[in-house]
Amino acid sequence: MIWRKEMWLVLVPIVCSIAGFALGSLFFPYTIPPVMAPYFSLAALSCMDAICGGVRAGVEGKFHRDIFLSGFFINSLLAGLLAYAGDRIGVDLYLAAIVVMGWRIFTNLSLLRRYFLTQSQMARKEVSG
Amino acid sequence: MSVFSAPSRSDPWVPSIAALSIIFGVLAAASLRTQDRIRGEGLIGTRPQQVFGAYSEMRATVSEQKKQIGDLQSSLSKYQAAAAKETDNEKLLYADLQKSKVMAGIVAVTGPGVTITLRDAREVPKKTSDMSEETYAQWTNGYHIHDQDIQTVVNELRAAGAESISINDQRVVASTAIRCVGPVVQVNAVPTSGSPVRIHAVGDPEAMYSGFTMPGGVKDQYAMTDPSMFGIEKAKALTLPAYSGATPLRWSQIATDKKAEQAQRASETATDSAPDPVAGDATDTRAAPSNALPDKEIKQ
Repeated sequence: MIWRKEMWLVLVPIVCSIAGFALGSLFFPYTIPPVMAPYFSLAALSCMDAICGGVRAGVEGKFHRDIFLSGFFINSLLAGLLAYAGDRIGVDLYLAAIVVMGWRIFTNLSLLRRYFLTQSQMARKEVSG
Repeated sequence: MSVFSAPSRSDPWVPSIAALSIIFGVLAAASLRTQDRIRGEGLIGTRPQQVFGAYSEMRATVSEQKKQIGDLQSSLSKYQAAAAKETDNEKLLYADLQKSKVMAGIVAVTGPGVTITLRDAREVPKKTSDMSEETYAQWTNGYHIHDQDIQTVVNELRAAGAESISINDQRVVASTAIRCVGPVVQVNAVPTSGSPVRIHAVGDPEAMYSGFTMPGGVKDQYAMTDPSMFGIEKAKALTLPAYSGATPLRWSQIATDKKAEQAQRASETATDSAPDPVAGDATDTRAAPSNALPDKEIKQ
């Protein structure tokens, strides 16, 4: 697989996530109250969803910061509200958020993968041709 | 991404993604640590509904068994009363038994006494921004009722001659433990209200009342924080419930005469050589019940 210069940029979210994880494990020794734990997990999932969507839009050249940020916040808020409402009425509504976000993560990752495979094929043709 | 209009330009995406990725990393680390802690506390796989179900089920069992204990105790009393009608000897034994039962707290008693109410302070000072969570907790410690407060009151009541005591309608007996578990107070391992705590004591109302309201006494100590935390009222007739828990004796045995005599002698010498009358509390009065009376006098 041949990498083009802009293709290295996908490593940015991965490296930054690892850096953030290290930062969080080393410098914030707090735990979340167990009641809040599901909400934080949802927030993390929502983050991952936004990152995958953002990277895909970025490599496709149609990234818009306002769409990215509003999407992230409104999706997180909706997921939190669903989880809370589900808690109150005794139905696991947060599953809806998890399923949708998980599905979107898979879709976006598969699109990214196809995009990179195509790009690398094209690059190989350019090198050989 | 936009459905409604074709994107005309593209923003630089790397900084936004990088920032969100860092946030994601921190969140993931916090979530991971929390899940580890939850796992460490053995709460894994326990959904709240399951816990509630198990809790209410156990509570039903316990209340049912308590009812059984009450029934059995009342039928036992009836048998004892019936057996006591035969001869003088039995009558004497029965009277003695009744006295022991009152002292042990396994029968309901009624009589004059006092009612003490302990409650958390009405207003707890606000946390200032320069104060850490720990300092604030220490600082406001005195504004809440803790198990120590209740233990102090029970101790003072006994010193003032209370004969029977109940906390939130749980009879205080020799094996009673009083402890705070979160916002509730466990008395005889039964969770009861943490604030207000109602303590009933049967005994000489005047002596107990003046014991608490004397200058520098317990009432004054609470008055410095908030006078509403401590309330005491005399009562003409109080009825205290019987202790309804189990009373198993697995370890204690009645001492042989020789050993009892030795323990008695040891307690007498300890009382004689005590530098301070209060130290008399330390003597082992359980081995020799007859020593309990002088001990009480020393306290007063």
